[in-house]
Amino acid sequence: MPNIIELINIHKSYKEGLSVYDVLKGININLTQGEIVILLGKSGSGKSTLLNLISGIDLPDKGDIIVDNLNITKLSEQNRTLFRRKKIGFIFQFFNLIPTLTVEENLLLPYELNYKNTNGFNKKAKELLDEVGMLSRLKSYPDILSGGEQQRIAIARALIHNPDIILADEPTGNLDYENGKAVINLLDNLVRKNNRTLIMATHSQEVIGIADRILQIKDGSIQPLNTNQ
Amino acid sequence: MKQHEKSSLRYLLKHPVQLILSIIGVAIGVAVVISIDISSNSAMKAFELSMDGITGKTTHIIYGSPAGIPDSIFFFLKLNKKLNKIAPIVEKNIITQTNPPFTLNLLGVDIFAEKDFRDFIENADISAGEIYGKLLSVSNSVLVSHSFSEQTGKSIDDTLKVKHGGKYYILNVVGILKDRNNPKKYESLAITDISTAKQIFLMDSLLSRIDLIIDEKSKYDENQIAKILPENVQLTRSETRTKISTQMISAFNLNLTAMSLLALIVGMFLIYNTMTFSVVQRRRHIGLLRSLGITRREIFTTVLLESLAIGLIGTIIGIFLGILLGNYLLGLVTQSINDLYFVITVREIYISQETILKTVIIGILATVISALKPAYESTKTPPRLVVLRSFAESKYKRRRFAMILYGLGSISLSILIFAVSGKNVLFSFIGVLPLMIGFTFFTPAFVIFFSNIIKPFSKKAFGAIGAMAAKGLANSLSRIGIAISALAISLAAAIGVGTMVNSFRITVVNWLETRLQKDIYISVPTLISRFNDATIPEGLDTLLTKLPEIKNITLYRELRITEGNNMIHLIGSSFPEDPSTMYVFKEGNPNDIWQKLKQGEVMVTEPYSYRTNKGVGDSVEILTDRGLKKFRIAGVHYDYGSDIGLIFMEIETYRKFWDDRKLSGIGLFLKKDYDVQETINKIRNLMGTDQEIIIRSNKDLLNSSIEVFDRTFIVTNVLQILAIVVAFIGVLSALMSLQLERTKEIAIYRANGMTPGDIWKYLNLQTGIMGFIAGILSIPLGNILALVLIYVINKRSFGWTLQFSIIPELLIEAVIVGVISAILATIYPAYKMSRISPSLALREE
Repeated sequence: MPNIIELINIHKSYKEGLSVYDVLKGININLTQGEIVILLGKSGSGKSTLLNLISGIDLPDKGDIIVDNLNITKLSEQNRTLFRRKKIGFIFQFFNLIPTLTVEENLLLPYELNYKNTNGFNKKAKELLDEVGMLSRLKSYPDILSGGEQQRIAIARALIHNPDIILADEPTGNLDYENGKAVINLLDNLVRKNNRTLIMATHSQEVIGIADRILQIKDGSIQPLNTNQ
Repeated sequence: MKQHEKSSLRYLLKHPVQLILSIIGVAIGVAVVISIDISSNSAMKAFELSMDGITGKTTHIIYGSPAGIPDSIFFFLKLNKKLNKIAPIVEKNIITQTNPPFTLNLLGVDIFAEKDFRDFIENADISAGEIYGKLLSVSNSVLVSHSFSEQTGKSIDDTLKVKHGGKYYILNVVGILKDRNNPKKYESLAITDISTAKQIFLMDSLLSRIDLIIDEKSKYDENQIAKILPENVQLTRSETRTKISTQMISAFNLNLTAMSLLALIVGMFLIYNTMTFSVVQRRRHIGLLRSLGITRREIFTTVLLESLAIGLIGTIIGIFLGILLGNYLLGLVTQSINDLYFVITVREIYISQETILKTVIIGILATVISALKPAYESTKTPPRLVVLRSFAESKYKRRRFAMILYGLGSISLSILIFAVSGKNVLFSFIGVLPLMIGFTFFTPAFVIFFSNIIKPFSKKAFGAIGAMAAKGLANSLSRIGIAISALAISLAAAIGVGTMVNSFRITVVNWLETRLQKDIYISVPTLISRFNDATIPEGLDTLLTKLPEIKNITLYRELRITEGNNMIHLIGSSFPEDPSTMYVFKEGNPNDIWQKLKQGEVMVTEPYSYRTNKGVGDSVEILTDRGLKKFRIAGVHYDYGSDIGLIFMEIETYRKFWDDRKLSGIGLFLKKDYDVQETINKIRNLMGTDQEIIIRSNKDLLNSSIEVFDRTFIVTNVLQILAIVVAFIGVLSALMSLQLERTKEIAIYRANGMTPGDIWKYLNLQTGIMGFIAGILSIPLGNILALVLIYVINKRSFGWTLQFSIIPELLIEAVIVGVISAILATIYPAYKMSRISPSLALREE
């Protein structure tokens, strides 16, 4: 299987006042198409930073990020946005649905950014919402939905425009056990069914069951998973 | 509509109060601009229409000296030179003694010469034959307009009492005029036979002008006629007359427009403020859109589109509001024009398509320009969701010194604009914008500095909550700074305009006190307060010199003349023994000016010198009864009586060059031990009741002059109040947005034990301090703005040098208004916040 993502010697640090915090210190990772990878690590270990780098939201201080044979660190901000628009689907801990848009419109947002012709949207949206069990809430606004329901919609939104890569940042962090489990199963099914690559950052080890590979970030580098943790 | 645009629109709709306040702010700003435009245009349109009724098909006009043109010239042209399209005219204004009273232009015509010139004969409700018959046979007969007749109830065969030069006359209405195509044409016109007009206006052998039609069929062309005319008369094209009159009030109109733009600038800050808040509040929302792949350009466009929508709706509402306001201001503007320049009667507003189009462009452009910065700021929102407030705040704090530099840069830009804008008033006014923006850059540093100072006092007075309120300011600079700046700008606008008007008033009062040194002033009531052209009874001066009370008498004659295409006032005056205490000179040597005046030189006022670029040593060239003559300027003195420009000469010089012995006024110095009021009564008894004469003491004249001054500033005061209203709405909007987004912060306070009362106290105290800071900040800016209005805008509009005076009451008022408006704007949010459930607020992410 060819690599879809290659992270080569990635360094990233943040400045706060006069202090500099090295978050990532020379990370190298390769991911293949269709792989589900779990990023484990404590809060502040750099998981979200890594996802931001892969999506082109942030740039590394050093190193290259090759996504689908494209070195995104060489792209302009505008082109990185266009890259993200097409290639990435994001799922966040706090769902981040747009409260002023209905469920349907939240899904339409990334779709219409990618497709000039939105004729196929209705069918696709209905299919996806059916799969996440939210078809009946098509016209609802997100703020009247429960956390679990909102996250299902967020999953549908991440998949609607057929991105190659799904990035999920603590997708169960704000959900109870039952809802968290349901969301993970849903993600597993949908990602595998559509042969997408999923990178999920979490500090919870309960989701590792779905992973093809588990990477642990510690002290700014990838370290072997200590199963006793 | 794209989803991200839809989401933005719904965001605005979800915050209706802020949205409505922004729209109202734009609407009022726009309304002020269009209302000034409408009222000035309506006045000008009415003037042009009445000119149309007066001039008719006249192509050229022959003028003589301001007192009149000898009718012998008319007979010479008509009989000797056989000009066939020629009409003698005697015209002046009269006031009708009707309810309501009207000021009409009484046009005395030779009815047989009229058919080629004016069309009133075919537009009268009686036949041409009847007009000829009645105008010639009925004594003091007059034709009046249909609208005058309707409004006063005067119809055919009624008598009409009118007043001119302090005397009353009875006219007989013999016909009603109505132009169906143009009903306003005769509105302020009354037509009579030329002999009646001569009798009323005391112009026995004089005419006001001679109208001519020069066309291809004419015996002589323009140049040939000019050559056969004596050198003491002048041939001009008829359109020049309208042009000269409209030019006379152009500075007045321009200054009003500039003042109206001040309200728009304050409105622009409001829009800037609203859009910035809306962007700051949505940082997370925008970050989310960015992480989903919306580009910077798309975010920028969306924010601009939002502002465009606000601008468009605000502008449309503003146009309707402006029409209502224009209707109200029209009366005030007309009154000012009547007081200062010439008599016009305006009863209806006139709204041109250009006015509407111009306003729409200004309204929308102002909104979009104001939104540019917030729109640009929005694109800088990183495409991530965790934008730490503390990060943003510390960045804002760190940048405060850099911001001072930006502020200085912006102020330098405004100085540059003032420097290069020359005499262009509107371009100069653009410089006000970077000046105001520049000041807002100082806000963060000032807030930090001030909150540190006030904290111990606030703690001592209000305990821990007092300390929190003061400290909280410096910790929420990114938002609070904008609100404080908006409030400071608004208060500064109020201080600026108020200080300008008050400085102007103080200057005028000082000037009047210097100038009005005579004990008693005698004049005749005139229609234009600042133009004293009526004549006092002949021989009165001789009569007065015989009174034992009189120590010294000064004679005064004022007339309006044209110099090139400019209308100016000519004053022939005798001066007291030592006039140097009455005049303050800008140019010229005060010690020898009086001698030079006696030798036939003239002195001019500062506005004249500014407008014509003429000073000591230059000459003015004016048409006298002895032909075109040059008079050397001996001095330029400060004068605030008229922006039109005045030329003063010795009355003997005047009488040497003009065959006019009439007087417009007399000034009297009394001998010691004589009482002013008793002398006034004595003169009044001497005069009889034949003519209305104004005999005033020094003090009375001072008061009535100030009254006229105050009246001409009513429009400015209305504009100032509107600027404050726009400002208050801005503050209300800013502070409401600010408080309503603090739900979570307040919930945390509540969860930590602050009672609703504590919250109420905390928020009001904090905004009170904000209002106070804004008030303090507005003081320097307001006074600088006043300096700009005085030394740049007013100077370039009128050419006046005003003495800048700091008005302490205004400064105290600004601080009080700042605190009160800030607290008022917080009442609703504070009430809402104090009732917030801590659990509800904290449950949200």
